[in-house]
Order: sequence, then structure tokens, then C-alpha cells
Amino acid sequence: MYTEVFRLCGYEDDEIEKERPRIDKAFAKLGLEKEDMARAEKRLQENFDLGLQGVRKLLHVWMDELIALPLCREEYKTVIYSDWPLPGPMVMAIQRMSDDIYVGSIGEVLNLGMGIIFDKLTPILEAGEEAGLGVGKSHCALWQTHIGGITSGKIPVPDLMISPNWYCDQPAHADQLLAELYDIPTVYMDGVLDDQWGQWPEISEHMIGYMGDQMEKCIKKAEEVTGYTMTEEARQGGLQDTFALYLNFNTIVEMMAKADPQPISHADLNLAFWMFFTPLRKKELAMDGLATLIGETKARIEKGEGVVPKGAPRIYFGLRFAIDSAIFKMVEGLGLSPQVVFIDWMTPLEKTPPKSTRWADLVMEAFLRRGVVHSASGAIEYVKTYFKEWKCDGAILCWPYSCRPYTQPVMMTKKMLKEEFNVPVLLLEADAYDTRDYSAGQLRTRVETFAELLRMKKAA
Amino acid sequence: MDAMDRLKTHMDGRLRELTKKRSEGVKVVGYAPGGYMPEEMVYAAGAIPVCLIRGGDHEPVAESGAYIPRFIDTFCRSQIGYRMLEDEPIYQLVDLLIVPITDQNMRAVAETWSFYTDVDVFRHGVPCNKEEAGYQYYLGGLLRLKDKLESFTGNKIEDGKLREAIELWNRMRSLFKEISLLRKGKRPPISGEEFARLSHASLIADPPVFVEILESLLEELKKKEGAEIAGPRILLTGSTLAMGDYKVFPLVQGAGAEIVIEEFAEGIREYWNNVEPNGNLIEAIAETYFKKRVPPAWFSPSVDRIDFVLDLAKDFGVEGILWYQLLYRDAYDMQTPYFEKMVKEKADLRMLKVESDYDISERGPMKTRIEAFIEMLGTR
Amino acid sequence: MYTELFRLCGYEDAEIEKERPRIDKAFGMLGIEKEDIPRAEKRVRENFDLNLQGVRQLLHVWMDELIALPLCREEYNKVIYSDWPLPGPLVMAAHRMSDDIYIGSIGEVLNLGMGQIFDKLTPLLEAGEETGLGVGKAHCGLWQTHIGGIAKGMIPIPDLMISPNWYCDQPSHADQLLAELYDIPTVYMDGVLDDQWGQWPDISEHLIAYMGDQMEKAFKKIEEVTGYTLTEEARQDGLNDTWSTYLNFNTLAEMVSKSDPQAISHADLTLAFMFSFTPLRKRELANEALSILIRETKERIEKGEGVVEKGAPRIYFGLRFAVDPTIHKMVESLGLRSQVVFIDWMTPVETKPPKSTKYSDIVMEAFLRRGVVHSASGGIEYIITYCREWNVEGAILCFPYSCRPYAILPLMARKAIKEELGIPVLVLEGDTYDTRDYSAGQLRTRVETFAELLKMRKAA
Repeated sequence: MYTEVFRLCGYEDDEIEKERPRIDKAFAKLGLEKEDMARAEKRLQENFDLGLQGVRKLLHVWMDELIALPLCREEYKTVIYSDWPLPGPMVMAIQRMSDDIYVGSIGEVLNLGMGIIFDKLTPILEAGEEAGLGVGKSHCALWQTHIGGITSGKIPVPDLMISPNWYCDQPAHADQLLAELYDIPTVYMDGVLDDQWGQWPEISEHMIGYMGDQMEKCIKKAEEVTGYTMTEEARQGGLQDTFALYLNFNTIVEMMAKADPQPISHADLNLAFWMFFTPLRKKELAMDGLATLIGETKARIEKGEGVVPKGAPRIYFGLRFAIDSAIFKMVEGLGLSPQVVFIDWMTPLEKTPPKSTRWADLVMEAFLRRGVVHSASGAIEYVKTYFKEWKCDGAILCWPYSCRPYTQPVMMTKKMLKEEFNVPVLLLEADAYDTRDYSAGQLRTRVETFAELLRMKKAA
Repeated sequence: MDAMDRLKTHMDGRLRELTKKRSEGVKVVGYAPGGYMPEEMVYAAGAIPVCLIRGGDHEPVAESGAYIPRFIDTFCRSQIGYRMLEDEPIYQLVDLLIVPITDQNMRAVAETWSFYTDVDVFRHGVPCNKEEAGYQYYLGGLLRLKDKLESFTGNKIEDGKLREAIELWNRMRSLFKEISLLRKGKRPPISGEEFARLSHASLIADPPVFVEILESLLEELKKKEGAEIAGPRILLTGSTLAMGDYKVFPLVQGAGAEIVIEEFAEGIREYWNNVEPNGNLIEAIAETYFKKRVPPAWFSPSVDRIDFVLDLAKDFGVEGILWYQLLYRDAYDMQTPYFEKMVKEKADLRMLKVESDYDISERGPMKTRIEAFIEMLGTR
Repeated sequence: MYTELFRLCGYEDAEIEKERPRIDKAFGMLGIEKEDIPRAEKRVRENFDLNLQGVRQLLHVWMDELIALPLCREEYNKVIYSDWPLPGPLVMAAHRMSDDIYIGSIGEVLNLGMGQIFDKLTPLLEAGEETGLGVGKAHCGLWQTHIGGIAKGMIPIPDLMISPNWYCDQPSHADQLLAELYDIPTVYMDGVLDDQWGQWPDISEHLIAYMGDQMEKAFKKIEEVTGYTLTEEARQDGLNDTWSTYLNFNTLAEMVSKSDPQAISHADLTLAFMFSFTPLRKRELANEALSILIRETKERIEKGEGVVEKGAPRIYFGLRFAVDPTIHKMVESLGLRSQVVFIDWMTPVETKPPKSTKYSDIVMEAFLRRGVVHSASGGIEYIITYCREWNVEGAILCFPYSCRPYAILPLMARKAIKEELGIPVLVLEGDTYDTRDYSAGQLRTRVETFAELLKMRKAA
């Protein structure tokens, strides 16, 4: 029933045959049925540029992850769950400790697999709501999915949860809820964002040091639960896994930002973005996918081909959608070119050597150098850097409903952009993890008139 | 009651007094509630600590919409609104605002004040666990706060002054504790609402005057016998009980019950533990404010709070728990599913959760639910 | 059980004896019982200045109305109900048609009697909520009481309802609800407020004329239901009844405005304010009461006596509370002098002769000259005129929860007052018809700090 879906995701027929028993079992657990396949095929064909081999490979990686997740209990000795905003290098280093260990950013895997590919996330979100992250209370949908996956029985109960509590408040409380319900050992990676206004890009050592210590605490707990030791090699491997992917991604981002017309869709790039926070079973395939995509993008630029008309208004677009690529297709369909998106681009500051020397501190410093996660003043400065570099014609500051930390600077950023760059800014409430109330269709009307405004301004 | 009359007179003149002091060069230091900002340090620096604790009004909540998206906790949105509306004078007097960063909602207050006002805002973090590293982090924050207060006021926080301040606050906490414990009996001499109002006054009043009034009040209350509580005894808990947000009290009383004890993250002064006025005083403060303080729901994990509430319920002969939280205070909302289960399992207590966005439209449903809850408790 | 209460309300003992059968019957229907009487005595003593004979007489008038209302079915041939914002002269003219007709602004009568005097309005409000004007939906408290009185069986079902539909939307929908439930003939006085921004005090003829015609339609219906004819004399009497009371009130209000210290409390004045919209059985007693109160106020002014400290900050206070005297008392106890209140004062625009010539047009023109009922721009101009003419030092724009037409303007008015007059403004949500959530205690905290601010500004 699913052969064509897997072909679209870059699988060879013999690979599908080989994987069939695992796929059948995983799909049964996930509740994926025959009627879901037609929808997935349509969604893939409509939202992704399947002419690009790189895109198919990226889809392949996510499909692999989706199959591995429900089967992890039977295929691995120890199962550890986490999710954004746990630093990628940490989970990837733990994953590197042994092949016996399954480490998964489960919400992200479900988002990409059940959301982006199958458009069947709603039952999981609803399960999360029923379990305690109630509807209409502005709880994070990533964490609704995170707990909903477990409470709905779609994915197994883990041996350990590593819970990030440094950027936002939801994960630790959601994991505590799970811990109480299923008696799951949990370690919390605490952190406090108490740097002063205007301090970024200077980041306090006490902040980095504390979070670094907390990360080490989590690693220790992972060692204790798995029985394996974290080696220096695994640490460096985890760092490499994250940064190698990110640097390749950044290459495409810069190519895209410079190109006119925009050569590929941000819907396709979405597939790469979410890999930095997710331990992957097939990292090599992911790297290969990105390398292929770089080549294909370059070829398009050389041919002058693009997905948006040449000369289209170029905007900064402030969000990536983890579960729905249709929104980027909609924006591009309206003739806007998202020149830079969210925190895709690595600013010059981030390319300078870090001050920290300890591994965990390095990881945290890199994270906090992204102004948007450091503070509101950092976020404003960060977006300012984007604008100075890329000279966008306007901005859509799309803020995620329920994300309290990310939300804080949006109105301030609008004021800054208007005052300092005199560009039109559209504030748009949306949700990166739950588009039931923020579908492309619902957001379209506001984006449509904004696009018209930008075109008129550009023509004037 | 004499003491209450004196307090009223004092509070009536407090704004005038603050304005006068400020015009004389004394700094007014505002701070966010929650029990993590040691007022003693501000006082020892020769400044006046004033808590931003107003709430319950809808207008500031509405006003905040121009500055921050709506899904920030109601109380925290109000703190933005009160300042921007300019009609709450104390919010305009603040020279320095100190915000202990407990969660994202409170951080939003710091960020918006920094961007939209010319007030100097100082942040110090409150880690969400009591491990040694967490304690050290909090302590480090207090040391930075000390530096900030000293440079801001131009006054050194000397040990002598700090000790004096600690002793004054210790007295205040002890008096609050004694008054609170009087409510264990069948005829509490002070109602839940009166106690909440007293707690709120303590966050704004002149500390020496307030302590003196509290001394008299305690003596008066010891001699007073309140009306016998006919209906169920209720423990009120939740995220924030703001000054001005007293709507649940008459609803509970109207349904025939009485609130005899409360536990809140913000709004009720923490009075269970005193600071040891010896040795390294900043460390002693950190010990009490961080280690001894029963943490709110945003700690991970925060099971201590559940045990503490259960102990309170037992000590005060409570028959039901009323959980009053504000909209979008996510940590509290997410704790309720297992909190409710645990209090039932461990102490056979029933709990009702009500939620507010400081909107009048809540009254009807809240009243009906509280009445039904109290009635259910009465039939047990 | 109630002799003392009636004495406090200016009744002579002989009159009480004479009225006892009616009082007993009326109280029985209204659910006023023995335990309600001490509360009423306390409320009347604490909130009204009973040393003033004029105040006692005003209370007398309202007590008369409260007794007459539940008995109207048995004491009159025809019963007609209405309520604010039906123009006073319309109902008063209808009232003048014959002594056989009972016409009552029932919500106002219940507000003043059951609210101001007995503090027992809650059962009526709750009955209104249960009948269809649900709780928490911002339905008007006046109209909850209006329908609650009937639904609860406290007052009889009328032969006709005249429903105002020109200023706000609630009355006609509430009356339609009653009409459907009890099959009551109803005539709707329609109207549209479509004048342009900034047009006030010029009022469009089409607006006046349409509403004038609607008023005539209502008259016709009254004639049809009662069998009486509306004479020119009745019309003029209706007009006179309204104006004579209002002009007396206005004289009093101006005296209070000019007095320093403030001579009498606004709690007392509220008893007179509400006369202008209510047909009274004893209009002469009302006018006499006002005359006495004018004289008594004059005496106080001459003696330099007052209810607020001399030199207290002078404010504009934007609302009158129909059901609760404690709020004005609270404001005064905080040392604020409400120099002008709500729409008490007649602005220079209103004292000019009207342009209209037809009776009903004159009535409507007079109404629409009060800027606050004409439009938001008119309301702002009107309030600024008040503040400017009386040179107030601050303004409390207390807007009633649930009153959509009135609630449009307070935030705009705050901006305009601050910009044009540079005085502090407190915007305060309250409710003139339901103070369960806006009691004096609840509003006190915000008024308290505002009062302190004004005192400090004055002292500076």
C-alpha cells in the first residue's frame, strides 16, 4: 500500500522490500493505514520538489526515523527521549556512545513524519491535550506531540528522559507529567536566562558555566542508565554531527539569500533545518542529501531557474514550520521570496571562535550566540544583523502561538525594523508545531495583502 | 481593630511618603513578587523596596496587548499594563526594577520594561532545582545584585545594616507565621481575605512601621475569637494572588466555606523560614530564600510543593483545595493533572481548579463551580 | 417590621398605616422579608444624608414606585413597560394620557428600590441571567433586571412593551425574548446612529426625523392598546415632566459643582438623576423634594459645610451608579471631589433652542445633543467640554461593563484629555446596573492610588 510513498521518499524498491516487516509493524503502531497513503503521496508531490534528488534523500532520512521510533524498544537495549530545545550535540554525543542506545527527539520525528509527510498529527496532539497539556491554554504543541506520542501508545515508554529546562518552561513540566504518569526516570537540564538588557553578544560566563554543568549532569545520568561511558570521541562526534549538517545547510541558505530568482523552495529546506536537533540513525544519508541539494541548487542558480519570479520582493520570514510545508509554498506562491528565514543564517559573530574551552560550555555558548535564544534585546540585535546583511524589502514576523520565550521580542522587533530600516512589517501569529488553527489557507489572506503592499512599494 | 486602622492610615499615606523620599534622593526599587528577591538587601542599601503586586483589573491586561502577545500569564501581562497605563502611581516611581527570572512569563516583564520604559531593569536567575549548582547560581545572582544595588544607590551594603534588615524581616516573618497559625482553630480571628490583604500590604508598607503594626495586630488577634466556621475549611493555592484580586474569597464564603490557609508562588509573603543573621549574610539569605523556600510549580521536579501543601492541609484541618491559577501560567496548568491525583491518593482531599484572566465574564461559571465544589465537600 | 425604614424614607406614620396593605402585598411579591429590613435601614442610614429632608423625600418617591410596580396589574386598567434608553418625554406623555394607565421604567424602579435601598438585586439579576441574558456574556445588567423581574414573577406581565432600539442593541433583544416567552405585544422604537466623525454638535436631520417617526409609531401603538388618545396637552406635560425635573436637578448639580467644600454627596444626587427617565406616580413630590434639596444645599454652601474636605482635588467622574450608593461614597471618602459627574451638567450647546419643530423631533434632538449618546467623537468633545469648563484636575472615566455604545469612547477620551488638557486620567471598568463584581471595595484600590496621585499633584 505504501510502495509509492517510499519511492517518492527516495527509497529503492529492493530497500522497501527489505524493510517491509519493520514498516508494517511501525505503521501499525503509528496508526498509519491504507487511506493515509494517498494523502501522503499527494502531500509529498504538492509540497516538495521531488525533481531534486537531495530532497528525496532528506525525506528518506525522516521516513527512516519515523519507522525506527515506534520500534526502538525492541531494536535497542536502552531508549532515551528528548526534544528541542535540548542542544543537538548533547543528544548526538549520547547517541554516539553505543549502537545499543536509541536516542530520539521524538516530537521532532513525529512532526516531520506524521506531520510533514502524512498530515496525521492531530490524533497525537489531541492525546497530548487530553493527557494534561489542555487545549486553548497556550501549551507548546511540540510537547503536546511529545507526550501524546507516548500516552496514545504509538511509541514506547523510554528508560530515561532528558528534559531541557533552560530556554522555555514547557518541556520540564511536560516531562514531569510523563514521569509521574509512567514512572520514567528523568533528568532535567536546567538553565536560566538572566543576562541583562543589551548585553548580547556578550554572554555571561555564569550562565554558560551553569548550563554546561547541567549538560554534564545529563550525560552522567545517561551513562548511569545505559551503562556506557561518554568518550571524548563521542563528544566530538556529536559536535561534528551537528555542525557538519549545519554548515552545509548554511551554505545553501547563503546561496538562496544571494540568488535571484530564489532557486528552491523553503518547504524543501525545512527538511534539513530540523535535523540539527535530532539524533539520526542515518547521518551519512543526511549529509549526502544536503551535499546533493547544494549541487542541485547551484545548478539551478547557474541556469537562472527559480520557484519565485525574478525580482520578487525579498523578505525576512521569522519562523520555520516543523509539521507543514504548505505555508512556505503559500508565501512563495504569492510572489514573495523569503530571503532569509528564522535563524537559518549563521551570522559573522557565530563564525568567530568561542571563548569557552570545555565541551559543554562550547555547545551552550554556540547556542546563546543565536541572539533569539539569549534575550529579547539579543533577538532584536540578531534580526538587525540579518537585515543589515541581506537588506530585505520587508519582514513577516511570524510568532508561534504558545512559545513564550520567542514571542517576547516580536513587537519590539517590529518597532525596531520600522524605525531603523523603514520596511513594512507584518506580525503574524502562527504555530510551528500545530497548524490546525494556522493553516496556509487561514494565513493566506493577511500574507496576500502584505505581498501586494511590498510589490507596490518595490514598483514605486 | 486598632492595628488595622493604623495600617490603613499608613497605607493611605504610603504613596505620598514614597514620593517624598524619592524627591529627597532615596531610590525606589521595584521588584517582582515570588519570594526570591531579598528585600533586606535593598533596605540595607538605603533604598526602598516596593513590590509590583497589583492585579485583578482587566484594563492593564488589555493594555498589555499593545506590547506583547497575549499568551503570557495574566499577572505578568498586568505588570506591563499598569506601567504603560500610567494611572498606577507606584509603578511610575520605580527607579530600578529587579526581576528574579523564575520562568518565561516573569522574564517577559523584564524584557518589556527594558524596551518600552527608561527604567533600569536588573535580572537575577532562579534555577529550577535545589542542587548545589543551582544554589551556587542563585547565590552568584545575589552577589551581582549586591553590586548592582551598591552602584545604583551609591551606598555600600555593610554587614551591620544588612543584619539589622534581616532581623527586621525575620520579625516580620515570625509575626506572619504566628498570625497564620492562629487560623488552625475552629474560630480563626482573621479571615483568608484579611490575611491576603495583610500580606499584600507588607510588600509595599514601610517595614519598621509595618512590623510595629503587626505586633499590635497579633496581640489583638490573640484576644479575639472569630466566628465559627460552619462549612468546609479550604486551602487556597495557585500561581499568583495579586493585590486587588480578591474575587475568590467572597465566592468561597458565599458558598458557606472559609479559606484558612494559602500557598502561592507569588503574592503571599513567604513567612515559614527566617534568615540566620550570622556568618556570611548573603549566603544565609540564599540559604533561606532558595534552599528552605518551598519551591513553586516551575521547579523541576516540584514534588516538594505537593508535600508541603499536603502538610499544610493536614495542619490546618483542610477539607478541600481550591486551585486558583491565572491563564497561561503553564507550569501550574501542567501540574494539576497529577497534583489532583496525588492529593486524592495521599490525603483523600478533593480539589477544584479555577482559572482567571482578570475578566469579569469568569464570575458566573466560577461561582457555580465553587458552589458545587463546596456542596460536594459538605456531603462527604 | 418596616415602619422605621419608611420613616427614614420620609413617610409619616399615618401614611405608613394607610399604605400598609399595599406595602405588605407589594413586599410579598417582591420577596422582601423581615431580615431584609435591618439591612435596608443600615444601607439607607450609611449611604444617604437623612438630615436632608430633600433626600428623604427622594427616597419616598422611589419607595412609592417600588410599591406601585408589583401592584400595577390590579391597580390600573392597562400596564405598559419600558426602560432606558427610551426617551423620558415619550413615556411621560403616555403616562399623562390617563390615570388608568400604568407606565413604568421597570428596571430603573427595581434598581433604585431593590438596589439602592434594599441591596437585594442579585436574585433579579440571576433570574435575568437564567432567562437568557447569560452570565459573563456582557449583557446589560439593567436589562437582566428588566426581564428578571418578570421572569421571577415579582412584577406582572404587561399589556404592552415599548422597546428602545436606537442607542443600544440589548433592549429590543431582551424584550423580544420576553415577547416570545409571554406573548406580550411589543413595539420597537428603532433608530440608527450613523452621523459622521466630528459631526457633533450638528445632528443630521434624517437621524432625528427617523427616530421622531419611530416615537410617533410607539405613541400610536400605545393609543391602540390603551384606547386613549394622546393629546397635545399630554405631550407637553410629558415634556414638562422631564424637563422640570431635569432643570431642577441641573440647578442642584451646578450648585454642587461650584461648591467647595462639596456640599452634598453624589450618592444623594443619584436619587434625583434617575428621575429623568422614569414615569413617576408622584411627580410633584419629586419636584418638591428637589426644591427642598436645592434650598438645603444652598444653606450648606452658605455655612461652608461639606462632605469632602475643602480644596480636595476636583475630578470629572464618568458614571452614575443606579443600583449602589456606596461607590460615590467611596470616591468621596478618598478625598476626591467629583465636581461633575456623568452627563449631569447641561453644556452650552444644550441650552440653545432646538432646530426641530415637531414634538418627537425636539425630544430626540435634545437627546442627541448629549454628545455621549450621539457618537464617540461627540462623546469625546462632550467630556472634554465638561473637563475644560469645570477646570477639573483629573478624570475617572468609569465605563460600564456590558454597555457597548458607551464603552467605545473611554480609551479615546483618555488620550484626548491627556493630550488636550494634560491632566491625569484613570480608566476604570465598572457597572452602573450590577455591582456584584464592581463593588466599592473592589474599585477602591485603583481609585485610592489615583486620588493620592491627584492630591500630590495639587500639593506640588
